[in-house]
Amino acid sequence: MLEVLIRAKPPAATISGVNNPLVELRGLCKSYREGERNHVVLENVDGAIGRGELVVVLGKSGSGKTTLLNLLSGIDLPSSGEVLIDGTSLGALSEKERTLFRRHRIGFVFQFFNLLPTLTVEENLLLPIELKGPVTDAHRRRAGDLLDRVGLTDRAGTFPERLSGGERQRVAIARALIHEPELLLADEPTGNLDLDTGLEVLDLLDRMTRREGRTLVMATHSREVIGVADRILRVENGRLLEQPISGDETSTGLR
Amino acid sequence: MNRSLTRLSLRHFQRHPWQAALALLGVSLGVAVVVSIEAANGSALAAFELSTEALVGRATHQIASGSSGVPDQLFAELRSAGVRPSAPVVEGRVLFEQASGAPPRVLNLLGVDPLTDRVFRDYAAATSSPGFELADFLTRPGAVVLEEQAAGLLSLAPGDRFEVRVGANREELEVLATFRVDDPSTRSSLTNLLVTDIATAQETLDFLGRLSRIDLMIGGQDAGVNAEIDHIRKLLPPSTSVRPSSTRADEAAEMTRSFRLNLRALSLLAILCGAFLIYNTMTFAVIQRRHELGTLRALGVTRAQILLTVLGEASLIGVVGTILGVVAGRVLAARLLAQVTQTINDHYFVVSVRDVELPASTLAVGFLLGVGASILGALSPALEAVAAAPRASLQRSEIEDRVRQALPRITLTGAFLAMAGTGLLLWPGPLSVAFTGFFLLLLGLACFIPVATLALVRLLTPAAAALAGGLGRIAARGVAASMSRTAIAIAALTVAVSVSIGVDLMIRSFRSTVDSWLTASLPADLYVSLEGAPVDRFSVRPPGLGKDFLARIARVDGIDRVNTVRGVEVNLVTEQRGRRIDIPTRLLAYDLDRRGREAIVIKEGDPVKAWEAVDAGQAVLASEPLAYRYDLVVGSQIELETPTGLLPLRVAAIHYDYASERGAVLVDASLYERNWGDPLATAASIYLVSEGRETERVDVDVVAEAIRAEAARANGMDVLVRSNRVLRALSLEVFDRTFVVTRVLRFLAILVAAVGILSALTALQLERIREIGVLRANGLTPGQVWALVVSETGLMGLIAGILALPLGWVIAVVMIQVINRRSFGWTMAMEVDPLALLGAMGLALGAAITAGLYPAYRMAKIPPAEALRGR
Amino acid sequence: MAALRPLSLVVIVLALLGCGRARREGPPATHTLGVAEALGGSERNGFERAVEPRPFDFPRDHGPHARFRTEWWYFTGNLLDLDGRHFGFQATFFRNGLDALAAERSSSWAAREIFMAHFALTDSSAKSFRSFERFGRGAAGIAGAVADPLRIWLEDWEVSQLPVVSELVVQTHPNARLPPLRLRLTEEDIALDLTLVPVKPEVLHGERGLSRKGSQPGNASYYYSFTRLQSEGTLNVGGRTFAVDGLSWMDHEWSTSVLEEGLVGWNWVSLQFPDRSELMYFELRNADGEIDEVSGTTGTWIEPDGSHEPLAPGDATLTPLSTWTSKETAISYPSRWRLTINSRDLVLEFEPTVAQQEHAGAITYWEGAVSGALGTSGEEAKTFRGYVELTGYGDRAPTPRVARAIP
Repeated sequence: MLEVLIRAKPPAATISGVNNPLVELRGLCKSYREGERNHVVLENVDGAIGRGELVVVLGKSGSGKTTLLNLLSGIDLPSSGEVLIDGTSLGALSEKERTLFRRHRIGFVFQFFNLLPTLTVEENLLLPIELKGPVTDAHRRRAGDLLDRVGLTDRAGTFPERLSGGERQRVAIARALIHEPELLLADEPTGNLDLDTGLEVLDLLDRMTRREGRTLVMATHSREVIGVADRILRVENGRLLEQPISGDETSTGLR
Repeated sequence: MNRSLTRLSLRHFQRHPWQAALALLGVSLGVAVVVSIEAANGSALAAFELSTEALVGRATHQIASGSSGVPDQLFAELRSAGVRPSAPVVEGRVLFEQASGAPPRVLNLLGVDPLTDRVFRDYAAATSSPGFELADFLTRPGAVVLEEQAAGLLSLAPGDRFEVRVGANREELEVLATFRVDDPSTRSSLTNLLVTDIATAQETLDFLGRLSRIDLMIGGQDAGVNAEIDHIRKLLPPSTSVRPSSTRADEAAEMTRSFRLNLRALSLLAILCGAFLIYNTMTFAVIQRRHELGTLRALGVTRAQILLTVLGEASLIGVVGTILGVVAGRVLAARLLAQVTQTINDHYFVVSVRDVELPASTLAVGFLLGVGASILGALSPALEAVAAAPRASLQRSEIEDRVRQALPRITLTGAFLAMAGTGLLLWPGPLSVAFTGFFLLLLGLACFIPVATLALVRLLTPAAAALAGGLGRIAARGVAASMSRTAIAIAALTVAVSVSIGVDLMIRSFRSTVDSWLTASLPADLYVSLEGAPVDRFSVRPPGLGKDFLARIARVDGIDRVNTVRGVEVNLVTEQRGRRIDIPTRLLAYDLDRRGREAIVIKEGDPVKAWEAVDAGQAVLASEPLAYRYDLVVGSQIELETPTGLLPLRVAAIHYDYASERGAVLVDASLYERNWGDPLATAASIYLVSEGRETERVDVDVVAEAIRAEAARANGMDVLVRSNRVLRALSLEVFDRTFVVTRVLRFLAILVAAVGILSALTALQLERIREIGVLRANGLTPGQVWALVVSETGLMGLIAGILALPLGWVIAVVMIQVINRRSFGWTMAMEVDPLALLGAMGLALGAAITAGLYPAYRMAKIPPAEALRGR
Repeated sequence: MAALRPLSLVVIVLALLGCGRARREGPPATHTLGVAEALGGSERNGFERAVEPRPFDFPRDHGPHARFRTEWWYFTGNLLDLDGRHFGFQATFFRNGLDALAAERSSSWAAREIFMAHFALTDSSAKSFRSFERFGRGAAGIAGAVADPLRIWLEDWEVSQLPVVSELVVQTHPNARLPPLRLRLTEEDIALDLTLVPVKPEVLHGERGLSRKGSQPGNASYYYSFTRLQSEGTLNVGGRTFAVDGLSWMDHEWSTSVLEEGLVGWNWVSLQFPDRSELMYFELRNADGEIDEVSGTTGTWIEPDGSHEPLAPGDATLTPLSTWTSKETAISYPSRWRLTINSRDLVLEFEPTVAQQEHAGAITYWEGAVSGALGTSGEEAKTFRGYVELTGYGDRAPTPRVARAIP
């Protein structure tokens, strides 16, 4: 399985050198005020992510990976600069438009799974659909299909808190994909999982995104993950840097 | 408590100021309502007790006989027979019209004999003003003395002459001197007191030849006291009796007991809501910190330390909230007091209260409630938090599971409580038992609320889904899934709204019953009575309309017939459970024709035979409350104290009477005049000529004017001439005044519940902020956040509203059939107004939706990324 | 003038309005006032004054004189039971007019006068003295005085004309214009029931009954006595009944203004001698404790046949021989006396049968039974008895708030 991941790796590209990118970052800055001080998280970040790419964003804890993902999805707004997704500037949209945009085109997988505890697995899965409108049989079939693919068919009626971490993340992945988004954002999806489970989840993500033509941006601070990446970006001191993929790292990291 | 743990507590509330604020608000509101009612109740009674003390003094016993008093030569006879200490008293009420144009004040005119009275009443440590001379006090007609501050309130100074109204007459009095009292409570007890010589009181109150009572001081052992009383009894004419003086305060307490108990019951309903509220708030404060507490346990903090920390927090909130509540309660009490006092004045006796008192007992109740409920509210979640293993503090779902598992037990407990309560309600014990039953029943029914909520959610989910799509379903699910939070909030709102419904139904039913009774009871065209001070049962026989005057108005053109009634206080002697008892009762002596009789609605007994027996002077009609309280039935034998002895009479029938909860007996006017020697009438009802003169109807206003003119001719009497319509309106006004305080309480209960639901929902929603973040990340628009939150709270309101309907109906039934029936003995017909029920539903819904607005606003506004971070 | 100061009504005012802790009826003793204040002159309220002698008209004059402010009926006596046990008693009824011009009132309780009565019993062998005080308005049947048939009462303390006289052993003196009386007083465990028969005619003191108490005209009273009333009856004390007999003395005196300014009190002595003669003596004292020079001393000697004459000024001298100090009030009173009457060449020494005979009620004074021996001591037959009244020796608890006016 891992060999497959490594083999499928597309040619490396520079950050700016992506043709027909799905995501473009232009002069992106993000800072928070903390009392008297201004804490700069991202400083004048430029970049692009191509369609169907699997991009891994590396960085230490607190380096701004999550912030970057939040800005990409539009659930947070930059202090300056802009995020364009498929040519649409998120900052130019209203909060509602942004939400609707996200609803249709972006999927989210969180480190802490963030399933709704009061909803069953299936209900959690159908949540984004329900937010859009009535749930049809087609939706249900798709939900069943997705559950089948993440191997949780028999847990459809279970509440999330009865599931293991890996299971929960599989549900979260399924939920992120229910509305067939073009862009999937995953924030430390394996961060709360043990190594084996993490690898399974990675495999699942890979199978269900890149192989189906979706773009996946995954933030992580674990080097084990980078083997699957088409590209590796590093967030460091508020900058976004392209990092070459070294075979050493790949092999040592994954073996 | 450990210092770092204390710091942790403080930090928590620093970071969640709204939580601390809501907790404080909850505690203080609950405490405020209870304290205010207790204080208003207590102050009114304390004021009466104080003024009673001033009037009764150190007397242990008194010789009296209803409002006709005792013959005044009896005093000299008793003194000569060695009955001393003893002191004669003539006591009555006069109306003082203030120069400022403010409403007239009722003053107690107390006639004493200064030579014998000192033993009984000291108008303590007073210094007479230089102008005072006993000779003047005794010899100068109309001379009064009064307390210095009281004089100031009436703008009177020594040497001033002033008029008071006594019945139809105006009497001139003169301030001989004022005296100073330093003790504030004694001083306030003398506020409405004019002290005069006994002769002056007799003359002013037109009570010549009689005394209101003779005060006695009989001390020593029981046997000695009884022997002394027996000795005194032998010296008395048959109509008079010796009673303990405490009966006066007791009577006052007894008279108003039902009224006060009803108020207290309402304040207890407010407590119930308040306790729910406090419990709710404190529970949230702890639950929110589940993870934090788990971490602390993992770090090695002991269970006891955590428990102590949490309970310490709760106590702090409880104490601070209680203090705020007491302060607010005092302010509120001042407003309620006016209402309570008004009601007591309208129905029972004259009392004037200026100051709100907060006795230690009231404060104790407030603290017990505020601090106690806070600690109890925090206890169960705190225990829950420390019971778990250090790392794995309970997951929400586990708590919910536990709640779900507990549901059958809660419901079963509820069923048991409800049955026990019903049992107590059906048991014909004292009223306090009925109240206990009432509360058990309410608590029991409240225990059904979680189950009912679940059922209703299931029932309402399709509707909610249809209405709001997936959001509706999510909202419904949210309500059902968070039972540990929502159930208490729903219960609090349900209880409050049902109390509102119940009280409203009761008042409505009562009012419509009284209204139709009034309509039936006031058939005459005009009613004539005297203007003047209200008469209570401690006054001398009230003034009235003389025979001459009545004869003259009977000749006024257009008047067909004049009926009269005389209302005085008598003692009724009957047997209850084998014991002879004295009942202070209102005696109504009627001179009625056919139409007047039809106005008296007989409840039990044959009207024709009953009236025959009354006419023959052999029987009385007993009012429903009197019959209910003293187990009188048609055929019961009673005796009435008359100035000439005990008069044995039979109860010929029981009639409806909503005028006096103390009860009244109705006798024939000639029987009264014969036995009591009192020819006056308290009021007259005038029937105008109607038959045969249809072409030129008699003008009511013209007749009324003619009557007033006759009155003016007769010594310039002030008479009130009122139409039945006006009288009915006035009666209903008094009725409504009586229930103002009830309505205020009802409003307060709802306010408490609204704050409760606000704090509960705010906490509930804010706790879910992360969840909302997830939803937002998954594509929930800000508008949908509003929709979600509001439909969730709205659903809770709707459920509360629906559940409140049957519960409110139960409350109304209990209040009408048990509480009021046993308190006052009145029968009421239940009247349900669908509009009012709908209103109550709207109230629940409105309160809940309003409570959802702030959380909705906050959560819609917050950026999803921040929400995800759980801020 | 037997008897003392009419009660001060101011005292009663204070009683009404103050003194919460006193649990007795009537005025509190804490606010007594000097006899001088009590008897000071006042022109208000339309009362007449005793200015000149007047004819006495009995029985009308036994009754009340409403035109005068102050009046008292005063009975003292020394009684012996069958075993010779000695009892002294005092029964006094005071009438105090409030306002001679008071308006007519319709209430029967409207009072124009107040009565105060004192009752004291001295049990010489038990060395005990008990005194009682009562107040009542002269209205509503509570208290009053009626001339014919004679009745003076305050509740159940009563002196009244005996309705049936035939059963009496003792005959009324043919010239005594007073019917036989019955005196009945009960209080606590004491009940005194006596028949009083005048065995000598009335004595008009001073100038035909006008007894001067100062140099100013009007500072005087009308004053007559029955100095020898044969007394017989029963006395109940503490459940024991004593059959008693002895001699009593009655004074009746009325006035509006008595004491002249500067005078504080008086010493008054009544003595009844075994030879059927009697002596009444009084002296007025000024603030320095001196006997007043102007009004001096006065008295009346009554011969066994009833004839009597006033003592000349300066003829008699009363010398205190020792003093007694009250434990209750800390007031010192003279307690043993020598009375010298120069014109009769008579020296009498007498002393209280019990030292403590002080009244500490509304007004503080000493009034008690005394006895002495005539000639050489020890001879039983020569014992004489009497009553002494000492006023103005001090207030019980001197108070800065001196009550001023008397109504």
